[in-house]
Amino acid sequence: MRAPLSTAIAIGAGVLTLLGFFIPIESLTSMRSLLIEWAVLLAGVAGLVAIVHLLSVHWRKMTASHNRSVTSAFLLVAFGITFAAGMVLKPGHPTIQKIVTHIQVPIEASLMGVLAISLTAAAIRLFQRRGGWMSVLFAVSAFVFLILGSGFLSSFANIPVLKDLLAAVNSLPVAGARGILIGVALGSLTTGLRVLLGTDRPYSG
Amino acid sequence: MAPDLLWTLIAFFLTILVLSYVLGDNALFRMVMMIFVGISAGYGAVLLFYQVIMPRLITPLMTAPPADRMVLIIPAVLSILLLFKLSPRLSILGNPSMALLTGVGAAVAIGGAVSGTLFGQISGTISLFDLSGLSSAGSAISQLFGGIVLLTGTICSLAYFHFGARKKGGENTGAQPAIIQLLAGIGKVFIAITLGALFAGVLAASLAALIERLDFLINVIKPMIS
Amino acid sequence: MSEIICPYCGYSNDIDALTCLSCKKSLYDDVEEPGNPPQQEGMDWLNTFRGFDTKTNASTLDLKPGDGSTDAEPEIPDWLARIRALKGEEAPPLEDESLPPGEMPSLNNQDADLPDWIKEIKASDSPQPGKENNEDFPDWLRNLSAEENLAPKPEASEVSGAALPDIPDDLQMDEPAEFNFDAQSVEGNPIAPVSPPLDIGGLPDEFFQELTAGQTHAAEEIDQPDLDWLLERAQTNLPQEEAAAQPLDEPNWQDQPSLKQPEPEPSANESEPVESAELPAWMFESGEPAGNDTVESTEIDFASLEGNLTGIGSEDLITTPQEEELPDWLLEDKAAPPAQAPEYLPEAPSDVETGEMPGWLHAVRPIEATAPKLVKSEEESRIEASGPLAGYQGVLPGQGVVTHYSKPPVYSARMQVTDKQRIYATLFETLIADEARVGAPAAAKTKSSQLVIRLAVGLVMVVALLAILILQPGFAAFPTLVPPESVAFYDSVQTLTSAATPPRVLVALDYDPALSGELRTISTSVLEDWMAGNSGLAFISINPAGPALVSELVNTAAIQTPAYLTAERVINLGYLPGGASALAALANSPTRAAPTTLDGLPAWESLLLQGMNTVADFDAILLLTDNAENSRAWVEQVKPAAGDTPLLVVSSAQVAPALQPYVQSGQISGMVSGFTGGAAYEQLTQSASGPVRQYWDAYQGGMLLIAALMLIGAAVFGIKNIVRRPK
Repeated sequence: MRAPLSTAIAIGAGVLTLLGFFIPIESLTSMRSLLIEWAVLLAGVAGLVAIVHLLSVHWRKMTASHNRSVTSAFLLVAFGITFAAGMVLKPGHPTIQKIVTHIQVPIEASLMGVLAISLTAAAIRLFQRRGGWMSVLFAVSAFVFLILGSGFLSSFANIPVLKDLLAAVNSLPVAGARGILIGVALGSLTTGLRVLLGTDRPYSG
Repeated sequence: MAPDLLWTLIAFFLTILVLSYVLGDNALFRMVMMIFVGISAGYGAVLLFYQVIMPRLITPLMTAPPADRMVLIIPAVLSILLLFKLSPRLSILGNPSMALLTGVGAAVAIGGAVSGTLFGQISGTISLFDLSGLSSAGSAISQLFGGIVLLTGTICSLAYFHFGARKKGGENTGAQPAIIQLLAGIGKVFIAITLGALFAGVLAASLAALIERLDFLINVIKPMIS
Repeated sequence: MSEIICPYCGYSNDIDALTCLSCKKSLYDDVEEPGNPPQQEGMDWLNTFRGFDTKTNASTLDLKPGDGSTDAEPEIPDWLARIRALKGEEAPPLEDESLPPGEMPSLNNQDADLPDWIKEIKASDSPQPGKENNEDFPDWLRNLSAEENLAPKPEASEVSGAALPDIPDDLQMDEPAEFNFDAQSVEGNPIAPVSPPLDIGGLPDEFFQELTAGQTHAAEEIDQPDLDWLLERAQTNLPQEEAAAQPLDEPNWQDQPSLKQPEPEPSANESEPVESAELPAWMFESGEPAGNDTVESTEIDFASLEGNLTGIGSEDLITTPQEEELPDWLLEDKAAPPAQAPEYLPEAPSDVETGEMPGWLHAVRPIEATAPKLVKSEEESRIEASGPLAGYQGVLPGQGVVTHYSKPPVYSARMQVTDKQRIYATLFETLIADEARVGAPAAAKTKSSQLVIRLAVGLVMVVALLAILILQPGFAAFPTLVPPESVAFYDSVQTLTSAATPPRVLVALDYDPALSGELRTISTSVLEDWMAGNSGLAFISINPAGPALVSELVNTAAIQTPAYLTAERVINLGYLPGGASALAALANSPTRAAPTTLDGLPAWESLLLQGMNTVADFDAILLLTDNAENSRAWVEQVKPAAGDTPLLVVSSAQVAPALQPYVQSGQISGMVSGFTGGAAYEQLTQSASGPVRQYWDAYQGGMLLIAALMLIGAAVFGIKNIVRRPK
């Protein structure tokens, strides 16, 4: 068996957590709480590990002899300043929060704005290539829900038929979304069971 | 220059630089992206230290009763082992920590999927046919019709995702019965409608972001002009 | 590249020339036609491969056992003569051209148990100084030694030899050239095919599979240096039935001569008669190392077969290489153990005729004797155990190819092609070049058109939105049609805020900074209502940027409610890592999941959260989200623990369709999604100057603009497609 210790830990922790979820026995629920708290702590450490790895990658790119990445220096400098300031001032300090609200927010929000333009351009070219009836249906659906989402038709809400029609059209995506949600839940269930049975071992890499 | 104005100007120029991507990729845009990633990572690291490592590990190890400290040794060891993931040669030492994360995550996902989504959505689908609280026959028929449509759409969408004949390596893995194919075909219609609605939603959200950014630019420039 | 090189004189001619301008010979003669000397010159690249072939045993000649190659030297093909000429002086003279018949070093320590006659042989077979490993011997010689080992089992030889006529035609005639690794070896070992092809049509496949299993297994075991099991088996004196029932334990005695042991010990071979003596005779009849029950059940009349087959030309059979029949060149070897063969002879049946060294072997000898070191070892003497080639010897590369090494041949890094190939390459290159010239502008055109469309769309949208935001025309009517989930949301807020005791709300700020503009705009009105009810707000986030966005959101909302004491009524519980696991921890015990505030203070000892232990103790849970996955996690993990506490959602427009099923099922008590939902909520609260109302013109105008652009695009490209369709 590959990685027997890790497999035993994964199966044991998973089974105990699951038992604590479904069986209301004090010892099981407290064990479940403990395991979940450990998992949260480990998730935090894993986040730090990921950050350190990111930095090491960019450090290597910056110090590489060939194809040196100058822009990686900006990343490292930005990280250094933010991290140093944050460690000194703590994350609740207004200055640290301004780093997020006045640097991170404008950048991400502007990217989202660019996405609006790119998506509109893509929507214009939806019919550039001949697609099947599915693509036509998708485009028609997107168009209809754009109109509905604009609130333009709600100005005509006093028309009884239109009101019922809008309600019916608005409820149509619920069916597909419910199918998707149940499908995702079934997928989560299957994947989780595979991990608990030791069939999938994504941790043994 | 007041600090707030400085921050505002920083935000202003960053917005302009990112929006310049509409004209094409450029070096300034790439530089801004790197700054963004660096700041996000720096803030995240600070947050993880002060919100996770300190209150959950370091402080309890120093201040908690001895019994609690003994219990904390296990996650402390696992945390240290996780650091070995940084080394390609020693990364195998971090596998037990990853195993605990994966096992607990899998159990949490199973419990949530069963009790949160499967039971909830199935009962929600059944409730569509509960006509007890309705006052008129017309509304009952309307709700019944709506329930049938939603039930059909849900089942057909599931059929499309899970039971339709799938292609593997360019070949059909097996023909499905005609009824399944019919259900999957209907399911495709519902899926297309849902995806169209999601696409429209993404457009609406991104448009809102663009509007907010343009409004911010206007609000910065307007006082300067006036 | 538009030239043709003359295959005769090498002159460069025009591409359309039919004859060489220099030598006047045709440029398009079939250069591969045999017997055309000038074309042979044009095949220099093939000549280099000939050299390679002789070194690597990879001759592509299709020589079949039993064909006319048994004739003497005059019929030796040219390639063979060439090899002789080439290799005659290159290879060093072999000191020992005969091979000790099998070596099993592991038996070395068992000398005390060996009979005297074996010890004598061992003494004569002990390695001579300067003696090279088996891989240093030419393959034909190894085959000969293999024949020596086969000599004590003449039944097998006869069956093997007799098998040739029974080989299916397709196997005889269609032997792939690539399988014929060494024509010389096939020539030199015409008896290579052994029993399996004998009755291949009459016996079930299982028979051959089981029959050859022992051989295959032994072939796998044969590289093992420790063969103690063999002696142990010999010492246990297993009865014949047991021996037959355990074919896998039998050694592949046929392969022993080709063993490549680091320290050859001839004593190993002497153990063979000991083992062979304990084996049933029919095993040797089959030519396999060990039989099994299946063999017995097949009811083959081996005796009759033997009788029929002995009459077939004995020169084709495996023969005992008697000393007097060996050629002179073989007898010259001092290390050759000529006394071995007589030791085996007593075990051979008396009706077997001793073979003669055929004339063709004499003819082959000089070339083979001077051949360079070859890689072949076991694979030469290995008999295929299964498949259509079962019984053939040395036709497939086996383990020896990957485990035995010799000095690698030197290859030219330069590709050598014929002129025809060069012409074809030129034509192909021209075709590719034309294709590339056609494709490149099309791709560039597509890319530029995309850029133009994006620029135009960007310009139109930015200008239109700026104009609307600056001018504030007020053309868009606020929606009067309010979604039911927004109404439910509003009702919940109103119910809770109008209660006697101010509600305490767990606010989950779970959105990225990217959509903070949208969500801050929508939720400001909502938070204002909560603040107006003096609600206690405990913020928590599973998004790293969330804690920093709290203050901005609270400060924006508090502008309209100056009486609200944010310092007392708002607490920031910070960030929870781990996604769904973090939410499970929160649902399980919020006091342990988020013990401190963002400032590091103990959160649950504050006035706001005193006495609260579970999420159900909150009056409401307000989720501000732009992420469908995280929203699902909140519904799945936190909502079941919250009990009757309503889960209210303020969502981005992009996740609203994904959350609608939860709204419909009642798991989400109320939802306000997107600017449309925010406008509906402001409509419900009768807010005249809400933040959504400020953006409503731009939003509706932008949405309609996008829809119009989409319609225009559909019309233009749809018409284009319709116009193109007839073509």
